[in-house]
Amino acid sequence: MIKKKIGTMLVIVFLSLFCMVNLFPFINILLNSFRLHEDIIRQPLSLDFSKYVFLYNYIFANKHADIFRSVFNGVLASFLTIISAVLLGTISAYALTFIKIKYSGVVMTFLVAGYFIPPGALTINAFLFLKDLHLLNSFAGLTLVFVSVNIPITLILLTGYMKTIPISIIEAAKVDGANHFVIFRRIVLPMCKPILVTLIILLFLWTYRDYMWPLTIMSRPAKRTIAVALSTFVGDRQLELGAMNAAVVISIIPIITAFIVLKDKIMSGMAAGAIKE
Amino acid sequence: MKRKGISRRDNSILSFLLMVGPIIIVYMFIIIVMAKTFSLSLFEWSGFGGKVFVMFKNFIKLFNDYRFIYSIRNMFIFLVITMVFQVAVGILLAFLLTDFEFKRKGFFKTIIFLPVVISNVAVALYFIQFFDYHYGILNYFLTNIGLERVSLLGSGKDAFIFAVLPQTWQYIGLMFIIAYTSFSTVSKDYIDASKIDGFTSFQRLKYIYIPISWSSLRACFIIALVGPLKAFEHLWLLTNRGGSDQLSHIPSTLMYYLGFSNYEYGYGSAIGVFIFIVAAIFVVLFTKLTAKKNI
Repeated sequence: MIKKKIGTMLVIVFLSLFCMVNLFPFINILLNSFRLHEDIIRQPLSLDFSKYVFLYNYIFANKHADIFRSVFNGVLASFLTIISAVLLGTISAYALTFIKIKYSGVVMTFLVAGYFIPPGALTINAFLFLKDLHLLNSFAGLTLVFVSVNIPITLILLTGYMKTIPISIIEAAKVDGANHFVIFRRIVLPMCKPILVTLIILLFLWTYRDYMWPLTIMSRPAKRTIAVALSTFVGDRQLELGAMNAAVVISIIPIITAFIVLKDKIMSGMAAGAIKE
Repeated sequence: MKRKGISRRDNSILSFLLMVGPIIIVYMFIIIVMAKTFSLSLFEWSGFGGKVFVMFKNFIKLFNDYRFIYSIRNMFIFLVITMVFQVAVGILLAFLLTDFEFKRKGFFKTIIFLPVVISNVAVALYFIQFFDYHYGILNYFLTNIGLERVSLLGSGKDAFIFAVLPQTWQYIGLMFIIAYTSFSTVSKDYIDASKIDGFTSFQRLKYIYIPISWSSLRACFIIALVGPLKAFEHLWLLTNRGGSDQLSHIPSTLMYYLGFSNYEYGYGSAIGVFIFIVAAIFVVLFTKLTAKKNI
């Protein structure tokens, strides 16, 4: 019994250490976002609050990289993607699950096969193709890419869930004379609410945080999303640590807020999304 | 009767097409892009002027390019580091949190998972300052305890190993949550029985938790396996576009570098084709392996 207790104590100590390692970067970023670059260079960690500045870095960061506008751009791109993917996804998942025609299996396989295409291999030609379509530096172009890349996982999640809806409910509605629109709108969509919440969370995280696609498509400074704006603080230029940390803090506020409110839903959603893969 | 049957079938085909059609049109975007990657890989093109058809010359050039050889080496390093420091640590944490009895498990779970939701760029930015030669925290500690400064990112053969660590750390939580979710569904009866039989914790992990959760844990291995093919963001930023000597690339970052820094669109597309082929091999291998498991 005592041995067991010691074991548990050791486990708690180990887990606490791991959590401290996980929290350290957040605290470090937050504290250093209130310190001047010159102070951070001299001493990366300091709790000497007399040398802290309140908003200087935040104002500087916003001037340097237009942080607030790029947060807005990031949220906008994410919002447009969620709307389009949910609209297209639910309607087609309904058809793929409940309308039996000869080739529906083939169509489904075709639509989810894209899951195995690594997006990193598409950058050059997506850029060239969007250039031909005159969709560079436009939210339409970015949304097109985001939706297109996320179609397979959207359909995997939605059809997986719709298959659990008892077919007898659909049949009964058909007997009562309901058409597809009514069945979709009144029966299937309300029942899909849990999976839609998961899907919306996942799409938000995948698009708001994405860096590769906005970097490829939205090169014009006014169109930058937050991830790209952040990356302008590093590279070949001199680091400006205070402002960089302030920008990071602003960028993660929407995510942290969402995480605090929806943490159980996010954790179970990420696990479910990963297992479905 | 017969006529009604036909008209109903026509009706469902029409409904199906109307409902699935739009998504197919949007989806065609990546299909066309993929087809264009294949065709452009046979050309030499810098974006201006005509494309020059060179057949497989790009691929021959690729396998004689030291940057590409290194990117393949790096992909394997990436895979090994992920397996050891991400999958194994994630499963271990999940096990500790499930098997031992103590309070505030929800708190630990949340903090372990927290880095997963932060954007990759933010994590990369943090570790760029963490590893920085002049003002990094790591070097600050090292000099304080009397050691030499180290330059870990940017150049050299080993720079890649350090560049891959932030990503590995960030996604431990994802592996953890997958394992934890399936471990917590393991029936309490088995655990109690094993305790009566005098199993040690490690035996429980080996003989109860892992075998029962195997189908979910497979997801961890799949994610780890495709990780090197999907990764881009951390490495692109941490190595500052592959390092000053271009030795810290993985195929996707090298492709991006060739396309957008050197305007070698055809040559870059050849790497795209290489990535598609590797991905296809993984898919085939994995479906074969899992098919065997089921029998």
